[in-house]
Amino acid sequence: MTHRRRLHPIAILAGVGKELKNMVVPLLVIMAAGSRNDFSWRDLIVPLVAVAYTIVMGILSWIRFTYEWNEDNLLVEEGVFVRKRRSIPLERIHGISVTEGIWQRMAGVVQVHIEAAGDALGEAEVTLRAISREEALRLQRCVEQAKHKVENAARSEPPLANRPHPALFTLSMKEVWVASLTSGGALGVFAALCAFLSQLSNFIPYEALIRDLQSTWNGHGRWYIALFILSLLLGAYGVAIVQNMIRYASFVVRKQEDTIVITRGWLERKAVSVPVARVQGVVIHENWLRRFFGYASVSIIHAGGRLDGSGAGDVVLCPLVEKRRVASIIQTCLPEYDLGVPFSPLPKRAKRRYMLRPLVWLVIPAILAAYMERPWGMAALLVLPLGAWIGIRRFRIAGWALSSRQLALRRGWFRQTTTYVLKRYVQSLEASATWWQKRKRLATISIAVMPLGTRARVVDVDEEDAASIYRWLQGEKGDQT
Amino acid sequence: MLHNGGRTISEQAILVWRLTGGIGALVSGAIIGGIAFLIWRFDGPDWLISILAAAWLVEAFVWVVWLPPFRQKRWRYAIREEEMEIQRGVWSTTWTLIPMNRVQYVDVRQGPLLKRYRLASIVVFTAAAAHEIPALPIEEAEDLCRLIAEWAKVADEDDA
Repeated sequence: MTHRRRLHPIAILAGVGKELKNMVVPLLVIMAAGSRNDFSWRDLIVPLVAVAYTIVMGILSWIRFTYEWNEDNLLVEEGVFVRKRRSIPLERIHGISVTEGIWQRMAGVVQVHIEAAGDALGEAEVTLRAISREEALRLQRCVEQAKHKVENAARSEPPLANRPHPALFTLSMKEVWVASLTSGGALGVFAALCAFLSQLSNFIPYEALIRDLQSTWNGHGRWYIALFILSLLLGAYGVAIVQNMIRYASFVVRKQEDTIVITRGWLERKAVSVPVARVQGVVIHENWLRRFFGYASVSIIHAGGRLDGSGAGDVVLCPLVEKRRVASIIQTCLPEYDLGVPFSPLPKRAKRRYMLRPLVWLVIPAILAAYMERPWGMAALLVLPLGAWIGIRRFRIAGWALSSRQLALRRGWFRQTTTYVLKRYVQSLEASATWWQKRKRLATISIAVMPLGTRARVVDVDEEDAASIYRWLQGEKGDQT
Repeated sequence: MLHNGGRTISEQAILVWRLTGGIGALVSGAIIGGIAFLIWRFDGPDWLISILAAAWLVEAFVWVVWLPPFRQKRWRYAIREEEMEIQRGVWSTTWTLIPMNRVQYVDVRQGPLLKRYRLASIVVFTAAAAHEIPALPIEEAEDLCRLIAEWAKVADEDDA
């Protein structure tokens, strides 16, 4: 495999399509702003030029994009005006995700996203937008071989991972449905909708709208407005459900040698492979709804970029799983983690602080609302006991668990988060205490893990416990593995 | 945790912080003065101006007079072969522990003010975060930087 090759031509369509999708809204705005009164052919010039430019650039960059690989390196050459040659050592590749988008499926090819060391610089990512499935497999195998060669240079021929591995975890259609229903993704969709609307503010007459709204409000329109907002929310919820169903359909997790392979997706199929050695921690999320039914979702913290399309370093291992199964799944995937550790609660004296904390930023708005909308606004004061109650729940949930080589921190209520990190992946540990905390002999514990900016913390741990967690990381020379 | 053990940073840090605090106070003074002028020009209430003036005085006092010595006293650090510790904070105290073999690289940094007083900061980077020790004498900072780099490397070799 030494001669240079191009991507499948469908890459042009996929690339141009993506660019155009991003351009639609700004172009619409420009057109609408240009043609205030009557529409003439001149208004089409800017969009047409933009579209033509995108298409030409798409074709040019496809022509200029070549790749090849040999036993040691992946070489990529790209750039229309500025030529860029990049060579990535295969053993440095940390993760590969294979996606079949709609474009790619039309041509029977796949998109490969490659994640390598040096990621913080944002330079070590390569996307091969359209290559044949066989080639993707060959590349994956080459990477595995290169890794084995480095790891056991002494050992004999590495075993080729080719036989099918049993699935560790699958999601039934019903579970996909429940996962989507309880995911809470609606807020995200709603935020996206708001962002979209604010982009369009140029040609939606918001001021007139608000004036109308006020007169409607003062009339009998309150119910209509409430109904409108409710249906907007429901719509966002529906979109979120559909999005999640597309995303989590046919979800399968396998373990192949030292790699966890997650395949998922319906319209767009995706396979994410994460080497076990790159896993920096395990996170278990339980939102209150799922907790009620005894379900949770599991993510792994991955020391790289966006392999999974969500946040950096976050790869979903199980979107929805019965709580009692989590330990055994993790046991098989990541045997070094121990999820059975008993959690230590926070000391009693932290309870009041937990109750007061939500109130700090609730008191003033609640009182203002109660004062301004008398007498019914007094109902706003009910928020205060509710806040205190949530505080107590949060206090009950918060805790930590320490074993010789693992630290676990748990916090939250609405969305309970438990993070398990092995000692050798803790990058730094912080204990802090404000003046108020010191008076009550409490402290906050916070750990940092890769990638940049990933933290887990628990507030109001007993001072002595905080000190013992601190010492745990300090006395590490003894049990390095 | 250090609990006021370890080494302190340079006493001249107080001076540098007072200067930066002073510059900040001048900038916010100009802004607040502008607002006060507008209020006066458009016959705004006098008490609003006095509140603004009082706020500015408090701010200047805190950042120039009161805070710098406390900050200098609270900053502590200890660097050992296997780990380094940093303690900081006036209102809330933070103790940071960084195992030496997690250190990726070290910077010595020097702004114009620090340079004037022959001081420098060192910034230690792990794969997850950056940690700063501000205002050390320049020679000490350079020594520390060399030392950390060396120990970080040694620890790394042990690890492999």
